[in-house]
Amino acid sequence: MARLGTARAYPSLKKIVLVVVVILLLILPLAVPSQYTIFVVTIGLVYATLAASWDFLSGYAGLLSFGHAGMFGMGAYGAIIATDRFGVPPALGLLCGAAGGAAIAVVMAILTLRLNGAYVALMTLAVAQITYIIILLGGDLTGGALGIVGYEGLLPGNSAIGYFYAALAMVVLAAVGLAILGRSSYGLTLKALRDDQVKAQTMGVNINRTKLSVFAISGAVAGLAGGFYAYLIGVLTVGVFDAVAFAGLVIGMAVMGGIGSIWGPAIFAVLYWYVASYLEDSLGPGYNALILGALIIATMVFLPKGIWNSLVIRRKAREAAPSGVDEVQEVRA
Amino acid sequence: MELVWNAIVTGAVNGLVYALLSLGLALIFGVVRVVNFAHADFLTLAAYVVIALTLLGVPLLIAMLAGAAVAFLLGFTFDRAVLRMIRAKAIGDLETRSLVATIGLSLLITNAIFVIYGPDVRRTTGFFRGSIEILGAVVSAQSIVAAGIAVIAAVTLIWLLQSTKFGMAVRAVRDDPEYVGSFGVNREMIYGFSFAIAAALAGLAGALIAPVQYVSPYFGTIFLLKAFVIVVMAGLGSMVGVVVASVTLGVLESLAITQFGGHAGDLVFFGVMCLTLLIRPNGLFGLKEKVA
Repeated sequence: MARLGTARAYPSLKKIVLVVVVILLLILPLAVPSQYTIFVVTIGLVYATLAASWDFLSGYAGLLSFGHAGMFGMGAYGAIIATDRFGVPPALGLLCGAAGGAAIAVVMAILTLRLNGAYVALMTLAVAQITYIIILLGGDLTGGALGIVGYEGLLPGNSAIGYFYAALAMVVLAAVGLAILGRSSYGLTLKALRDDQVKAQTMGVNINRTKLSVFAISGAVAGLAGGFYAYLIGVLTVGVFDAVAFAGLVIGMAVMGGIGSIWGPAIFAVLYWYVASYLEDSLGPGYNALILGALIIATMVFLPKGIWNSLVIRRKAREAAPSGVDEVQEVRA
Repeated sequence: MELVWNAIVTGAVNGLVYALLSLGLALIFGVVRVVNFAHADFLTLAAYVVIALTLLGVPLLIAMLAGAAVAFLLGFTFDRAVLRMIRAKAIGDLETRSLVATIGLSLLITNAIFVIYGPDVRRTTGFFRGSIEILGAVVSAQSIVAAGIAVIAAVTLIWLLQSTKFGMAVRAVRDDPEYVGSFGVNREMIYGFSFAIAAALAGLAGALIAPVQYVSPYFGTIFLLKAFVIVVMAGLGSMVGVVVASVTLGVLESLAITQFGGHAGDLVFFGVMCLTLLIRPNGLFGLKEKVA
C-alpha cells in the first residue's frame, strides 16, 4: 500500500514512545535506589517477554493459546534441571529452557493442527495441565511437589541490578526479533494464516509447517522467559505452571496492550506488573487484582484494539486488529 | 468390590454437580459464543453466599436458592453492561475481546471474595444429615439431595430449551444470530437471559458443593478446567450429551482416584480432552459443522 502525501520527516509516535521507555528503563536503577522496586520491574520484564511471545502466536498467527504457562514452566524446569542435575552452566541453561519451551509448544502444535478457534485454546490448556501433573509426579528429577532449591544463579553474586539489565536485554532482543520476524515475509504468512487459512493454503502456504514453526518460536521465547524467571527467583516449584498467573494474566496484559503489535503487550506488561505490585503493597493483597479486573473490562469495552493500538499507533490499527479490517480509518489517514 | 461400587456412586453424584456447571458453560459457549473464564467463579460466589447466609441462621435450602439468584443477577448484569457493549463495537476479534472481559470479571469476583473473607478455606455449618445404603454403597443424605437438585435443574433446563417458546428463540439465536432478528426475536435479551441462566446453574452447583467441600476464593479454577473438558467431550448442541459426559467423567475420575491417587483424576480429565479433540473434535454428541 503506497502512502499518500509526503514521507514524514519526523519519527513516528511509536518510535518516540519506544525510545523513551527503553531510556527510562535503562536509567531506572540509577534513579531508583530501592532493590525491591528493581526486583519488581525485573519480574515485569519477564512478563513482558512472555506477553510478546504470546502475542506472536496468538496475535500475529491467530492461534489462541491458553497453554503459555506450560511453555513457561517447561522453560523453567528445562533450565534448572540442566543446571542443577547435569551441571550445565546457567547461560547455556537458558538455552535449555528455550528448548524445553519449544519442545512442549511443538507437542501443542501437533495436537492442534486440525483444530481452530477456541478448540486450539482448550487443547493447549490441556497439554499444559498434563505437563504440570507429569512434572509434579516427576520424582527426583523434578523434585516433585517440593521443587528444586539451592541451584546456581544466572549471575555471579546474583545482584538485583545485574538481573535487571539482563532481563531488559532479554525483552528487547526478544521483542525486536519477533517484530522483525513479524514484518518479514514469514510474518505475512502468519497473518495470511490468521485471516483466512483456506486462502493462504491456496496461495501455497504450507499450513502445517507454518503452525509448527510459529508454535516453536513462541515456545522458545516463553521458555527463555521461564528459565530466566527460575534463576531470578532462586526457588523452583510447580507454581511456574500456574495457568492463571502465566497464561490468563498474560493474555489480559497482551490484549489490554493491543494484540498483534508485539511492543504493546511487552510495554504494557511491565507497566501493569509495576502498578499491580505497587497497589498490592499499598492497599494489601486482593485489591490490586480487583482494580486490574475492572481495568481489563474497561479496556475491552472502551479501547477494543488495546491501549497501544488505540493511543500510540492509531492509523496502523488495521494491521493489528486480528480480523476486522478498518477501511474507514485507512482512508482518513 | 464395595470400594469400587462406592467410588462409582460418589463419582456419579459429583458428575451431576459437574453437569450443572457444564450445562451453563455450554449454553454460554453455544449461544453467546463466549468462552466464559469467569464461569466457575459464579460457583465460588454462590458457595460463599450460602456460607454467609447459613451463618446468619437462614435455612440451607433457602440459602442455596439465594446463591443461585445472586449468580443469576450478576450474570445478567455482566452481559447487559459489558458483553453487550463489546458486541456493539464490531472491531477486531469479538470472541477474544469477550473472553478477556470474562478474565476481568473472574479477577473481580475472586478478589472481591478474597478481600472480604481472606484466603482461608471455609465451609458451611449446615448440611443434610444422615445416610442410606443403596445396593451396598453408603450414600449420605447430602449427596442424595445434591443429586436430586442437580437432576431437577438439568431436566428443567433441557425442557426449557426444547419445549418452550423461549427455548426455541435461544436455539434460533444459537444457530443463526443474524437471521433470527428478522423474526422479531430480541437477540440481546436472549443473550442476557442465556448468560444469566448459565450463571445461575453454576451458582446452584456452588450451592451444592458448599456443604461438602472446603471453599476458598480461587478454588473455581479446577472446576472451570473440568467443565471445559466436559463441554469439549460432549460437543456443542447437545445438552443431554453434556449430562452424559459429566456423569461418565465423574465416575471415571472417582475410580481413577481410588485406584491410583489424586492426580490420576486430573489426568483422566485432560487425557479424555486430548483424545476427544484428536479423534472426534466435534465431541461425542456434537453437531457436525460446529467446530473446524
